[in-house]
Amino acid sequence: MRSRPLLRSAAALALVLAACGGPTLAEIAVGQAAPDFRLKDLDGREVALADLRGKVVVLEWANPNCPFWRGHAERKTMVTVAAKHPQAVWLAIDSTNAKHGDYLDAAAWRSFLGKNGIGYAVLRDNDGATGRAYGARTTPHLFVIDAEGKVAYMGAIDDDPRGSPKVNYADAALAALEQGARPEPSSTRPYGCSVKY
Amino acid sequence: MPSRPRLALALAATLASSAAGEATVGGWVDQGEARVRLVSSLAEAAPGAEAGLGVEFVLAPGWHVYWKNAGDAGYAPRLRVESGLAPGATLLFPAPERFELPGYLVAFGYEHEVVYPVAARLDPGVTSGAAVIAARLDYLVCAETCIPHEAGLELSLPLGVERRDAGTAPALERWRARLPVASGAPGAPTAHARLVRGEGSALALELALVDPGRAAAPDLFFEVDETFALGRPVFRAGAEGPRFRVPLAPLDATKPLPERLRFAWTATGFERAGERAAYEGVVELAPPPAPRTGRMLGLVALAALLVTLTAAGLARRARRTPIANP
Repeated sequence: MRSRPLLRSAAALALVLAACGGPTLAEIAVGQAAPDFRLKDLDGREVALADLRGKVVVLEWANPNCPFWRGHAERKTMVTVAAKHPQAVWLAIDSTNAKHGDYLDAAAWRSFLGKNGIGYAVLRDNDGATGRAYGARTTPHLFVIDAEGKVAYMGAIDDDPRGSPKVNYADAALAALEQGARPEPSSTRPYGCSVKY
Repeated sequence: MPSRPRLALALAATLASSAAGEATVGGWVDQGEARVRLVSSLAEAAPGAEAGLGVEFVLAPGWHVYWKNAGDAGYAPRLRVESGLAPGATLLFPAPERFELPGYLVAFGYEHEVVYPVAARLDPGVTSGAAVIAARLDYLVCAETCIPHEAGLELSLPLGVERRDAGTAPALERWRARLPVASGAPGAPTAHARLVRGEGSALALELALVDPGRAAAPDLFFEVDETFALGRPVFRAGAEGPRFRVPLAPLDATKPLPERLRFAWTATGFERAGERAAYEGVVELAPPPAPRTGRMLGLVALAALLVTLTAAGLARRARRTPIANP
């Protein structure tokens, strides 16, 4: 009899968990402070967003086993845009669950980066905490953060999931920020493979 | 060589059925995870008339293709007609299913099999023989991973007096019956929408349906929205009638909301007279007033007063506390 309230609260908790369906994805908005993170790159060096205040930062969710992201990597979409805007800090984030078939260890990552001439850092977020804090949904999914640490653009890398884009949104957002303007569009629907949380 | 007689038999069967005009189907394009072909519900069509067309998919277990809004990832198939049809052929989307993916992601689409009906008229310039319809379909098929494909589809549709194809028509009619019915159409429920503020002044859309039938597995889908991230719908069959509530999170906090908010919705999972029923519509609403700032200001003033009083009290206490200087 004494366990009843406990049972009831356990049932209530179970209902709440069922309603939530596991850890939820945050919905962040353009203009809000970008969630801080402290993640390690492939060599174990820590990178914290707070340490990059004053610089424009691009976060790009990445997965070499995703045909969309790999296609962009092989076509040099990201490295070309990054090279056009050398003052911005470009960071890839890998939120792939270590148990997922798409997971790559540091050696496999380095080999892929070397083959495709990618020189920017890849941050490990394999518990998915940073991905969920940003609501990262796809690979690629991009977030451009202004010098004040606020989200200035979020969404797709460009305007065509089928590979014949007319506008590269990341390029346009970085160009706008360099001219002291706000990116337009400021948000688009990202496309690609789902992030393998 | 036991396969040869079987092949011959299969060929004979195919020839027999096409001779009888009971299989207006194009060849399958088999791409592993999915095979796809054009079908028509007509054995014979009138020149320039409705083609009774559909794009039929059969999917390998675990794979899915997409609704017009694919959800968190993916994209809908795109049909580009090369010949045989008048301009304006449109792929239509039956009521979708919701797929939960790891990490709280969702996809909207179809698994196992689907026929996307196509609204299309035959090229009026072709008046005798058969209309040869050729089209390219590019689509994405996903399971754990996603693979983009492109398929060249062809179908030969005999011309004459319009006649139903008893072989193909039942499947096409079943999928056409799964197209959502426009809300407000004769016999369809009307919909009422309003914007409400929930906890923490977060915005939500409430959509009520008048007499939609039995709520067997109610769900609500939207076309891609440029203003909000739309959260998961919650359904209630309350005394006020069945209604969905959908959390709305603005995508850009720096912009004022547009003067008119437009939501294109599709409600699925209802049952009327033992048949599945889905509805669709568009609601346009003015954004609600910002959270009551008057009251908010009052609360802020009260909080400030409390902080001042507390600080003053603490300061008085601090003055009474002996300070041990080193």
